[in-house]
Amino acid sequence: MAKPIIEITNLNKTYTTANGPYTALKDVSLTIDEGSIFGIIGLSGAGKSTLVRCLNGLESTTGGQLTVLGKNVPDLKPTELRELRKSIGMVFQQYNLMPSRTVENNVALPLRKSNLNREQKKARVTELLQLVGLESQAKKYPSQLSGGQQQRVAIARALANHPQILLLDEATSALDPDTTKTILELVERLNRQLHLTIIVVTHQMDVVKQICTDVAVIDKGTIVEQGDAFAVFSDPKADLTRRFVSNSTGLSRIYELIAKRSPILKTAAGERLIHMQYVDKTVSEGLVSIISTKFDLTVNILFASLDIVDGYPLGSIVAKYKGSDEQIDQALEFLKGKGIRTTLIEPGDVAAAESDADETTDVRAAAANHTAHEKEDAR
Amino acid sequence: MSILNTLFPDVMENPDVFVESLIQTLQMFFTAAPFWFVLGLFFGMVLCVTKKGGLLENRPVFEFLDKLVNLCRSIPFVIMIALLFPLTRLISGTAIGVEGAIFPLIVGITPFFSRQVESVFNGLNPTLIESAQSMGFGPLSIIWHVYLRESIAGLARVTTITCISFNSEIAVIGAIGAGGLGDYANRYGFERNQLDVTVAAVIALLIFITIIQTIGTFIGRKNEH
Repeated sequence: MAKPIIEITNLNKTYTTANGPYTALKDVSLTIDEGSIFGIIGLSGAGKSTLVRCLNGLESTTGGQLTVLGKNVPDLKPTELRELRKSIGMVFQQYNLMPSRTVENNVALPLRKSNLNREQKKARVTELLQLVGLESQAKKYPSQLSGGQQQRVAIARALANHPQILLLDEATSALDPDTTKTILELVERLNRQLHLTIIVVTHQMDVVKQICTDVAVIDKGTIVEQGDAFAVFSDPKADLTRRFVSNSTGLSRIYELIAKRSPILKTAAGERLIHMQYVDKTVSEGLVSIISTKFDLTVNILFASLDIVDGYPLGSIVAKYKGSDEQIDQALEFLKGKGIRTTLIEPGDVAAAESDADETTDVRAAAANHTAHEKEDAR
Repeated sequence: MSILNTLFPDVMENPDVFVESLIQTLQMFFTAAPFWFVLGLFFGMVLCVTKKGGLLENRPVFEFLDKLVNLCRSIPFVIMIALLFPLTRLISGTAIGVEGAIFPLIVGITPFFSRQVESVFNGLNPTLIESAQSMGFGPLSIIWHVYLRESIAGLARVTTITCISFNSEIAVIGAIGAGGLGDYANRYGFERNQLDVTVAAVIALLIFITIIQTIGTFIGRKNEH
């Protein structure tokens, strides 16, 4: 079915610095399928940019295999590498347009050594600008455009030579939420229209949620989790992935409330605090109302969030169940069969959550900062 | 004419000397300028691309050129002229007059211009180089289409600055035997105490510099976006 376009096996990258060797990537293994939108998410300094820059040889590697479009990148001669780069478009955080050239000349730049004649080049530039919706800005200079428009020009430029792969290195990180959204829509459209494989490097969870089909979570140079985007986010296994998910859904706030022993979360006798999560792509029934009638329970929802990941709903609900132990157990069993994972939040967990919170305050805060403005956008 | 006669009596007494001096200055300027311009661009580029982390990193070349430029820049121009005397005679056949002035003028100003050019290239956003690399550009294409093309405004600015410094060097070498306005102001204005001669030389240079500055600013503006 889907065939791999990029295969990475035990890739290593070590820098020699004044303070001795620094390992930026450690035994990274990834397979990226043709036509996918592959997200690489991690905090600042995790090595995600280094990884993506290895793909087109902007960064050299210090061990491992790295096959892109059937070629082992570390083995390529400079001329072969240049040839390969024409099949890999790259878009940067700071757009990197040539400031002294007009929009059309920027887009025409990669066509310089192509076999096209003058008219064909002109036609290609117009076509590319139409693709990103900027044909009216052709004669302007980059400094006269907004950030989002500049990034569109950069995307058009990256596509000039009909690449098969597009690398987006934090391409939306400098943009406001609205602009980010339009750029992501464009990227998604390009993926469908041109059957382009897209690799998205970001620290923004919302970017991954909105467009990625697959995701790899990178932490301190190591891939801690990878797979189908929905599967990874519905059932995060690594700590970092959990933090990304809980920060992005607002779930972290409910855990903060638990840690603070907030009165709304106090449970009386016969009450249980249950965390329900969708783990299937198919959940669509009104399950809360079903269980409350079917098992004669009072289900008081304290917190709920619904996200769309890769086009499927991903929900998370914290609710207080009131009823007999037997009925609650039955209800939980019923939910399990419907693709809902339930977790009992015990008073003991509160203490655990508390100590966990202390330990990871720094990282949490960092992750929270990253996602803070995205959340505002999502609301 | 009568105003000129009143204002510049000594100059008007022998206007041919003034005109000849002016021509000599311009000759020195326009003969040497293309050489130092090309050499400076070349050395500046080499310094920029061979530095640590540069496009064509090459430690020995960079170190050698860097030290050479420092050495040349630390020698005052008057001493440089004297030092180059035998070499100048070998190359130009003479060490005096306009002809003998060209070689030391080039040697004197090129290190200065090279440094200025280097700083312009180093000031270019390194991410532009990176994005050119990601498009599959080779080093030569990057030098031409990114470094040079994107630095026109900066190069116009430093070329203007260098032209102005270069004029001082022309006056210095003129005063020690090459002719030109420096020599004219020195011999007539200073030694014969004819102040109007000095003033005339100053005005001529001022006009010349203003023209250069205007052209430089114009090119810089046109390429600043």
